[in-house]
Amino acid sequence: MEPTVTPSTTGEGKIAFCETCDRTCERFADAALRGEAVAVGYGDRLIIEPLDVAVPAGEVTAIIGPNGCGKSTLLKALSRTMPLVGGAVYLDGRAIAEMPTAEVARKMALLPQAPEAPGGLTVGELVALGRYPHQKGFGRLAARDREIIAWALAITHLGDFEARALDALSGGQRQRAWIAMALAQDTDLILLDEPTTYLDMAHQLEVLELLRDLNRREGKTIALVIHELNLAARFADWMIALKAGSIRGAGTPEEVMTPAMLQDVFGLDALIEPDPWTGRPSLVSYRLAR
Amino acid sequence: MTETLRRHRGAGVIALLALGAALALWADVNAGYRSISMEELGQILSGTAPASLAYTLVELRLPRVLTALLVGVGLSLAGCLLQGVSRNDMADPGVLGINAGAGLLVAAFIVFVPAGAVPSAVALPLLAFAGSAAVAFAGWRLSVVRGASSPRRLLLIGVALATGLSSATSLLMLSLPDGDYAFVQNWIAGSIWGATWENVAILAVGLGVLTALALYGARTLNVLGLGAAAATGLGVAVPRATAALTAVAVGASGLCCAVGGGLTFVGLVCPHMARRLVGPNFRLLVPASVLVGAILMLAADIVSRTLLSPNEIPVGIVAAVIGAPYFLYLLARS
Repeated sequence: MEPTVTPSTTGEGKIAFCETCDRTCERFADAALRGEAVAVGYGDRLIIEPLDVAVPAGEVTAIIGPNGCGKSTLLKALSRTMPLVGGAVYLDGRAIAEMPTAEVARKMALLPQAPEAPGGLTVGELVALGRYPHQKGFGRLAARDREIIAWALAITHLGDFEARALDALSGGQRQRAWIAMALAQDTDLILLDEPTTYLDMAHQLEVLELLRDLNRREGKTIALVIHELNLAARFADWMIALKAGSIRGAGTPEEVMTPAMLQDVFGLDALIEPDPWTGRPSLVSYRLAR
Repeated sequence: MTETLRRHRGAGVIALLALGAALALWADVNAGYRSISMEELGQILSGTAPASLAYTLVELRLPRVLTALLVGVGLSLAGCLLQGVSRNDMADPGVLGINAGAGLLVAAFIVFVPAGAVPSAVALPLLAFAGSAAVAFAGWRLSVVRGASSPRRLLLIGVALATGLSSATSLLMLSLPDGDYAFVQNWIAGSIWGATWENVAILAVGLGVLTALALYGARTLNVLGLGAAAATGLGVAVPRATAALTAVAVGASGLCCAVGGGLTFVGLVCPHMARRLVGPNFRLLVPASVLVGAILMLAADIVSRTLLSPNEIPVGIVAAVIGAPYFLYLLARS
């Protein structure tokens, strides 16, 4: 956490990664995934104003912001599932637009929001699809593929569920199965769009602890869009706060989870204290700011 | 372990279906006003059969029966691919307006080209194929908005095109004398005609290639089933893969339309039946769909040729009579 970074309160339109940290910043330069002057929109209407953004390598990044702020759109833009109207995205320093899509898929996995699988598909079959970018021809699974599939199932505690139909699982199990599919892709970077939405509190924790373990033990770089601020602050190393299509702050949870930031981004009057168990900043109470 | 078991079960089901298709083929060869015994088959194969018997079997019945089989294969393949690409269980070649495009050109040929000017055995298959391909291409062009097509738009536009083209066909047909009217009506209902060895060869080679392409595309179809965003994340170039697989489906249904007319229901129902047997994995679903299609068409052909013998019922009507109740049953269950 060397560079001292304070949350940005940059005005509309200005391109900023964060206030004291520009494109020369270490985190920006060494980022696993980096967007420069990224803009997304339809016709004249921009959903994402031109912005610079970085997903630091080896860390867990949480993208937060109010409904409609463009956080999912930003993730889609970074993961090439939505076209850019300006700027470029770089994966390990190479422009994604110039890489074959299968090569991108060998470096970066994506879990879309509320994904749906065809009825009757089993957990094992779903996870095996994660091997797609590594396969050729008719796509028979090689020994190496089977090894990675077995590992992905084991690490998500789904070893006993391989033959179960996905639609017969609980919400939490199903989300783990999708994460297992992303893991079978064997990438250094995993992007997840609201992986905890529709889950109860215990299952949300389960998913986030799994992601943190993958980060700490397997060295995966993880970026996720998430609504729950306390969970974001608890599990993320780096937070990006978005409002109306521009970045209002990026930094450690201590730097981003501040009353000033929540006032700016969510319009909330917030009481923030360190969580007695985790030491991370935590939202104790809040009300709409007058 | 269980995954292996499931795959073995799938392979077993496909072997059974292949056996079923072989039996249906034998039954269809034997259906008609004259059945053929094993003994006579031996005589035909060894060349010692009477000429009339050999002619009946080899020149008349066999091409007809093989055409029915191949049309079932092609339509079911097309339906299987379209349902996979669009993630829509109601997709089939008819819904894309492909049949209607072929029907319009066939009707136009009968109305505007004087009888005997061009041999219809050559012109009609070509026109039917051209009509299918043209409508498929037009539908695809119209579905491109902001540089990208979506399967959903493709289907909606297909439904609109089908309705419009069918109306145009009806309008053309008003001017036809009774005999020609009945011919076009029969064609639209779906009946096998022009069943010659040449057409059987074209169908067999064409559908063989297209089925191989579909099997090659099976793993991509599986990934497309997870939705466009997840498929992109897994490294599928979604627009290109969708266009390629749709083209395979259009090729297959165009070929079938050329000799089978406006057959509906086969392409819609058979992939559903196959999915119930082997599940959603396209590596099993493609071969299973193709075999179910062959069996259903052969069964329909048997009924079509024997029920009102010596008159024929258009095989498409028989297929719909078999398929519609099953489909209603499926809908009621889900």
